[in-house]
Amino acid sequence: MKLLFLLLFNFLIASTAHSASCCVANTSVSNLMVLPSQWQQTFSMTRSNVIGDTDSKGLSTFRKSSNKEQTTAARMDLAYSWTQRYQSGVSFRYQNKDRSFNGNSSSDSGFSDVGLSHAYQIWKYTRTWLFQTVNIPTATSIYDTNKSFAVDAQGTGTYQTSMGLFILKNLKLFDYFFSPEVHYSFPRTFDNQTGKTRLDGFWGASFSAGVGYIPWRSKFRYGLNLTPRLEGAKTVRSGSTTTPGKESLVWDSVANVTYSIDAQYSVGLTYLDQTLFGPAKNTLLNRSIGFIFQTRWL
Amino acid sequence: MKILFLSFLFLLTSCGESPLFNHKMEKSSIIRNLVNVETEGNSFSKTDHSFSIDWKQGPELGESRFVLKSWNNTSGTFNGPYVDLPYELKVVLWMPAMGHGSSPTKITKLNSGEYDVSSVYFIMNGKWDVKIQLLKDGKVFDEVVVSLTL
Repeated sequence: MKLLFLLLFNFLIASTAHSASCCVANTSVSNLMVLPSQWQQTFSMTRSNVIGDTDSKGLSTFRKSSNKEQTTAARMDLAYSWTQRYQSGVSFRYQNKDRSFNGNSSSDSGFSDVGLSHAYQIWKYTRTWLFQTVNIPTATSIYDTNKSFAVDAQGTGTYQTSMGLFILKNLKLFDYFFSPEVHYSFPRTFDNQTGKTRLDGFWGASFSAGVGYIPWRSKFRYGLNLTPRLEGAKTVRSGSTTTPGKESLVWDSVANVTYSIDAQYSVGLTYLDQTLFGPAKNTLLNRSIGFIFQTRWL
Repeated sequence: MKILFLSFLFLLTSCGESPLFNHKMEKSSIIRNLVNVETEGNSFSKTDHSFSIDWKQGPELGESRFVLKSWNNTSGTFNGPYVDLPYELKVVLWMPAMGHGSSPTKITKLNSGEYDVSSVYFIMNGKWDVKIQLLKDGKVFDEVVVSLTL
């Protein structure tokens, strides 16, 4: 039973470690401890490629081979249990963005935004958590970029907070999870090339659903999950001009395999694809692969 | 099990609009978006000046470049003579649906009334606004928006 918990634990991390796309922020809880651990540390490496663009009407255009946009990221998630039911966490992310088109290229590296989270297990004997995350915009964003191809846009640009539930169930060799979440991005004013630009607040939401399979007496777990993520329209004000945006929608399809080395260490591989399910609207479409190494202490 | 069944049904119905099975490929050749400023010019509303845009590279995804030529409506036409704009020129790229722009453009004066606008980076496909702005005391005094779709 302990092993089963460990595998579930690995799966949860693997399902949420990928990067956000350009247009729809990923505000799900990234480092939730579902076991009675004291500490947890998760190191992940991901490489994402932009495959195409989808306009506000849902028409997708896949990019040609000479049009490359790649992000390589290293991320560290730390979580700590204050009590048996209450935990909090912090996330740091360092990434490199490469962009090239028809021989022109640009590259930049830097820290992304800092993420904070905390979660409370609502009922002691059911695995249901209420969580909240906060994104602190410490990095340059698309709203104050200075480098060509906007490769220095490493963050979201806004303070965001999310609130959601994480529900985990087991049925024989299978496990299931569901995680509805809503988030809000607070208004912020940027001093950029257009002068003072104010980005109004906007809402968003996501719903994750996943299933996993653990072969009998195996240390491996194979999982699939799907997350549609919706972001509200972004209205931008510059001087007397108001530019209303459009809603964005993207579907994250994730396949992962995790392996528990022992009670303390586990590793995992994940694959994320945003081109499989739709409709997608007003967003970039990414594919990415990731490696995860996790350590925990009781 | 009911939730699972509903989720599965939801997935199946959403599959129909999968980007993987419903997309077009990016064109290898440049699709020029003919706009009035290329053939007739466009006028500022608060000054007596008009301008034209002559794309030297693009407009395309990636880096583009154009030359902006300006004239006074009372003494010039699309073909000249060209005169300097009365205020500082600024060119800003903006993607209205996404609610963001791109990196700053560079403007170099070539001759009287002729400006080279480079580092015009359209960073993704979709509709873009090229905002041709006149700055007075550092603030936008007049603006003409040229829209194009990549």
